[in-house]
Amino acid sequence: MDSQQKKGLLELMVLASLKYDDSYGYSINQDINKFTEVSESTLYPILRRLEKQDLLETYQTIYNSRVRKYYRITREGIKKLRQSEQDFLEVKIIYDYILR
Amino acid sequence: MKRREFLRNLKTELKKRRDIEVEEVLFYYDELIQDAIDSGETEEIFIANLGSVEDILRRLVDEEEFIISVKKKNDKVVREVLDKTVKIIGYFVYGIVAFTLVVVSFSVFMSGLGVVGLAIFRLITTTPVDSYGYFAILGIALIGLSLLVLGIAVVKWLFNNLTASLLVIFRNINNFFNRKGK
Repeated sequence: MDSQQKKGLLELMVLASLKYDDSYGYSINQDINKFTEVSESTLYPILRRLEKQDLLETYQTIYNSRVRKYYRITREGIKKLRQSEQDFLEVKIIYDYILR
Repeated sequence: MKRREFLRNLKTELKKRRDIEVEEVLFYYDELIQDAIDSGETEEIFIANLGSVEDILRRLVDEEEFIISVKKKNDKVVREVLDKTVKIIGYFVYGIVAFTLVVVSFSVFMSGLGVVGLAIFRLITTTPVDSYGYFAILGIALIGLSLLVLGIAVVKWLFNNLTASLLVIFRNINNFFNRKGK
């Protein structure tokens, strides 16, 4: 898959991993790695980008007497996920044709 | 490589770039490595899988450039909105100025008309005794005529230079906003 396309999908996967629960860096990475291999170093810029775009927000909590940064999806982020469902249906129609 | 060494190397590389938030990146990796260790991963293997420090830096720089380009796009949107505001204010200012000028030139025109009328009236009703009287009437008539022409000229200029004066007004308002923005 070309890298720009993969980056776009990774953004959506990060948002999807936060769909039901807030999470932290390591855990988000674990979730996504169940589906596609991605390194933590790839993930950081994506998290940062999503935060800059206000698709997710962060907060810090104390865990095991150390600070941990949590990510939470925003209303805009949810909107973006919904939009991706729409996009998927369009792409699916095209792939149905390619794979017929 | 152990965590401390990795973070130290990363810090050294990050410090070379002014556009990256060093502490934030270090915090991310520090937390990540701790979480990995807590989950039972081997420190050295996990760190090796993070990739080289150069590779991490390259990704960060790419991302910074992307964010900057997004920011520029946003600035453009602000600019477009500003352009619209400038246009509306511009038309408004132009409207007021044009209205004032039309009113003023109309009254100048009317008084010119009045003065000319007065001169003609004087000429008909009273016969001047000498040539000075004629000159006086002629003078008054000329003043009236020039007022007439002035009034017409202002209105004509106003409509002839519609686009040009609008542009001047837009540019000035734009400059005003730009100065304020800075």
